[in-house]
Amino acid sequence: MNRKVLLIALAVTLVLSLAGVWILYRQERAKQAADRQEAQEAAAEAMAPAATPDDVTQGELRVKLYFRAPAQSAGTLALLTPEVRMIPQSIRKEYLIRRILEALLAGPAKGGGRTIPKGTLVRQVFITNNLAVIDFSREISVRHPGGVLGEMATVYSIVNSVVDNVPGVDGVRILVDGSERSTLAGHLALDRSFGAAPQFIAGATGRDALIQEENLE
Amino acid sequence: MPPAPVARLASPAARPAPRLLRRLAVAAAVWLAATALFGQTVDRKVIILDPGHGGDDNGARSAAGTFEKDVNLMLAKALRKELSQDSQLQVLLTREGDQRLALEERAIHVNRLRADLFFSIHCAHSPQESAAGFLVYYFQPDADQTDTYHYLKAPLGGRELRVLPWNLAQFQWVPASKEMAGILQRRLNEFYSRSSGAPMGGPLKLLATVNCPAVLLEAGHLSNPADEQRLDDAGHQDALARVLRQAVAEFLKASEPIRETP
Repeated sequence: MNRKVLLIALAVTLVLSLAGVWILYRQERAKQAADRQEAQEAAAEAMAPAATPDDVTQGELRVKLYFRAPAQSAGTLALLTPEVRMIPQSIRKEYLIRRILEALLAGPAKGGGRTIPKGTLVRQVFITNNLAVIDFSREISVRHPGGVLGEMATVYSIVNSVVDNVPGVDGVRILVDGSERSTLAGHLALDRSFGAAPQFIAGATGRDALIQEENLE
Repeated sequence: MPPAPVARLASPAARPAPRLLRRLAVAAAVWLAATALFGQTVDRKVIILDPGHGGDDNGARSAAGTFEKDVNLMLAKALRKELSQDSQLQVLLTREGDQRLALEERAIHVNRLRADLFFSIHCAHSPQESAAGFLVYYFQPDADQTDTYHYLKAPLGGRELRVLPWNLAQFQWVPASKEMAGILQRRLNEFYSRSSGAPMGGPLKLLATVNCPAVLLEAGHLSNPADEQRLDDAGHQDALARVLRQAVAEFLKASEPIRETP
């Protein structure tokens, strides 16, 4: 009898201990997540163009952004659909690129799909020899749903949106967390620079390819 | 003086011709057999099938919990079984089981074996459940960034040395790969009764480093229940493998003149 009671007591103690460890673990994870979120928000705030004194704007600029084409474009090579927006016109090209990317990150307003995963931050932008080098936070890779088509939509929505709207910029190089990456999410090569690719824009070509569309979240 | 030792010493020299002839005959037979075997080996086309993902890289996952890496391997093995019926083909897989392989490791495997065709097998996935069907890809350099793809050039004793960086090996095979992708698309269009279709070219990392004609097939959408059911069906896998074999045969028959001379 005593042995049975002892065993039950031991089992209860074990369960309570495990539950305690689990609760502590969850609390620690929640704290870490909150700290990370806070750090990301602080970083985003620190990198916001408005906080930088040399970001001088002059009126508004009409830009054409490229988002994921809506479902009715299925059956063509048209991965991207244009959407016209008005954004503050930064005098410096780096800030203009940043504003274009922020508009892309905000997602489409007139249908179509998001091309850059939520939570992605633009860390740095600089221009060298007509090439815009854009450094994104790791979310652009780790939160990407993957798939060849999805990765192509992400890269070419960025490239076409930048090259089409920023005079003197002919290509884009994408970095992730400050480094060159082999691929965006396992398929598309990021170890090179990209030029505009109008063949992926809806209405730009008459090719009917029966390509079914995937849309990013 | 006893004659026996002389007789024994003289004995081998007394019958040299039959033994020499026997040895020559054996050597000739071995040489002929080796030549025939070697000749057959070098004439065989090497096809590398690459089941995408593997190990802790599951690839896409269906709503029912099917992993892309497993479907890719099943399809690759079905295709190997089909292609192996042709004695002129030597068919190899980049992975036989559930192990992770880096993209570079896959390319090294292909390039070391001097393959005649590289065929990477994947499945597509979309957040939209209605998205369905196959997709065919080949490596396409960016038209506006062609300088990236030029050979590295250096003077060498009065002439120019041209070196193609290893990670751009596919550059010289683009026309052949595009041809293979076109054949594959056409055969699959017929198989699935599609009226039209075209493969997509893009800077795919894996294909860029492969030094032979190379294509990537997403055989269907794992996110689409009907596609998933088809991909998991052994009968459909065999039927698909037969179509892919026809595409491979058609390509190999016409592939030799396509390669660009560096």
